[in-house]
Amino acid sequence: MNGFNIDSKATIKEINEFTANLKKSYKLLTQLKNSDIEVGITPYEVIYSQDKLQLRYYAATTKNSCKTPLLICYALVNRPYMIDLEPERSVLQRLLEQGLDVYLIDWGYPDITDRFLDLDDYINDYIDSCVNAVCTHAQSPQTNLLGICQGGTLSLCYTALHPEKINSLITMVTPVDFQTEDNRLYQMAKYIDVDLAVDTYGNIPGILLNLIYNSLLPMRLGVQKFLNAPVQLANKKTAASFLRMEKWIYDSPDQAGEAFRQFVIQFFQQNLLVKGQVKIGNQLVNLKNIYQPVLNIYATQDHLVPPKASIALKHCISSQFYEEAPINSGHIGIFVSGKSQTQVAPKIAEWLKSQE
Amino acid sequence: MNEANQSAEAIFNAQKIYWQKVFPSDFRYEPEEWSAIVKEHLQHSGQQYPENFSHFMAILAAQSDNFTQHASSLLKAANTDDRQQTQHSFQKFSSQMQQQAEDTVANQWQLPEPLNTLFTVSVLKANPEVIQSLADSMKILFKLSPLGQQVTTEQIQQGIQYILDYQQALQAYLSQHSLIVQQAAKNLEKRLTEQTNRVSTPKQLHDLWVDCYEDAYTYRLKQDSYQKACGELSNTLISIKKYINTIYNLVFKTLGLVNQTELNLVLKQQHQLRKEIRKNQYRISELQQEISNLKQIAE
Repeated sequence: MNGFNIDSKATIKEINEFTANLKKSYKLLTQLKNSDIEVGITPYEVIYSQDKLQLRYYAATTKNSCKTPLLICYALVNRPYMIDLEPERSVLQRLLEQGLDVYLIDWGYPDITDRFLDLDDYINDYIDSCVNAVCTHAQSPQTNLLGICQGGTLSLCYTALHPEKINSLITMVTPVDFQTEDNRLYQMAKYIDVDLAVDTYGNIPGILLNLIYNSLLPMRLGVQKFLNAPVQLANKKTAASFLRMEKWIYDSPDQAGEAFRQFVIQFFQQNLLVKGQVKIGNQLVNLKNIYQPVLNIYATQDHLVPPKASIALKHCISSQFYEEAPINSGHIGIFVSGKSQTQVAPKIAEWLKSQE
Repeated sequence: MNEANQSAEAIFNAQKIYWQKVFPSDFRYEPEEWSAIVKEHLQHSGQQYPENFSHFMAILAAQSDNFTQHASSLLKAANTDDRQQTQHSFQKFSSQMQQQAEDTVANQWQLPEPLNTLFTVSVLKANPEVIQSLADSMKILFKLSPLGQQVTTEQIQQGIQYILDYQQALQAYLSQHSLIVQQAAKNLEKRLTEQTNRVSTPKQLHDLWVDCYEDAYTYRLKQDSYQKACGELSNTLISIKKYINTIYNLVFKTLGLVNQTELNLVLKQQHQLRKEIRKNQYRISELQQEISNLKQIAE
């Protein structure tokens, strides 16, 4: 093995650095408090609530540049503060700085009383109620809708079912074709008996979803992450950033059982969205009903929603104004990386203004 | 300096002394010493760190321990300038990383509670005799329970069958997973032999192992045989969980309490009513709009 030649000096240096950082990490972690890793600190006002759901209003921090409000629909899995992790890594704050008024749906944490909530409830009741509340609050006949990840898929369904209420649609890291050859979630979910899982667990525990996400890249998110951690934990600022991300990763709400069943079976296992056969309530979702301008933002290094899964949207809708915006990052990096802070929000704002 | 910092200071002073002794020529100290120091520290760390950090630090410390052991072994081999020992250290690293990957998988696919607590035997070491022993334990579990009379022999046999199905699915999955770790080891050796990558430090070796594992995993994940094994294992585990729920339902029923099945029925009815109310509200809203329009026309 000619490529394997351990350099003693370099090894000692590496170990010394590793252990020195580890030492700093141990010390720092004893000093950090939960208040040091607060997330989602941008001020907001709750303008509507229903069951566990809260609709938040964030006022633009510069002169309002867009008449039509922007409603953000986040995924049901994980928590929406991913877009507002900390001031320096906040797509939300960047949007406010661009002069956009933003409304954000916080789905809350489903409990046993939400066991039978289905996609009809989420789309035709919750999202619809939020859209109405946004239009009333902003005194606007329509809203712009931005859907993130699974929230993008729900937003597509909503726009197809209620096209008259949406001015323009933005999808971010959104799966449309769930069975591309590189879709790891589909590969893992293909033979899982979802009926059995929901009938057994009721609501699907968030901790199970975390196991699945970690299984997508088991060594990279295991061995490698922990060996790299001491570098990030060695100073207070980077440690706080690292721990905020950890907090978000493991803050996984349980999933309402029926909605989960419908989503996995119809979208993942049967890939019905691209076939125009997804059924929400008693209505078929036909993406060809979407004539609105559509901006499709995806991450080129996304291991969770591969680019191919997102760009399949182009051929499914009727929009004459369809634009793709690839961002060179991963599924999470698109919201938190330094580079994305200067690319994503300006692109959204510029595009929305052009649709006014 | 607080207690935690003193402890951290002590641990790293000990480590410093340890490395000074290991390098450059004195190899009397075994890596297990460092391992023991870390373990001792971990026994107290739960009391010293905030709750949400202590779990994280436990994993981090365990990984650091592995890393330091590998580094120590590789360093010793490098200093002997003995190619055979270097090869041996490399093989040791490779097999330990394979073991670590398999342990992770074993942890991930444990039996649900309370069976996992009851059956402390590692599933990886399970064989037909152990399975029989597990089945016997299960019989005892139900016979000792206050509702032993309620659980029929057929139900106990059904439970045993679920565990056997799980064991079979686990074996099938582990066979698939062993293909991943074997391929990862081959990839690692190939890349180093062909010098596609060059490695001169333990961290580089770890990173390369991770790349090789993820490549092998990506390939295997695309195979239908792996997907089936993964699905089957998940389904057998969920079946056991469902079986446990069934037993719990019996307990609740025996005690005269509302069980999950009955609660679900109520929740489902409540949900249907909620949908009806929503439909009626929309209909009322539409009718109000129509009345309003008609009024305007009449006026």
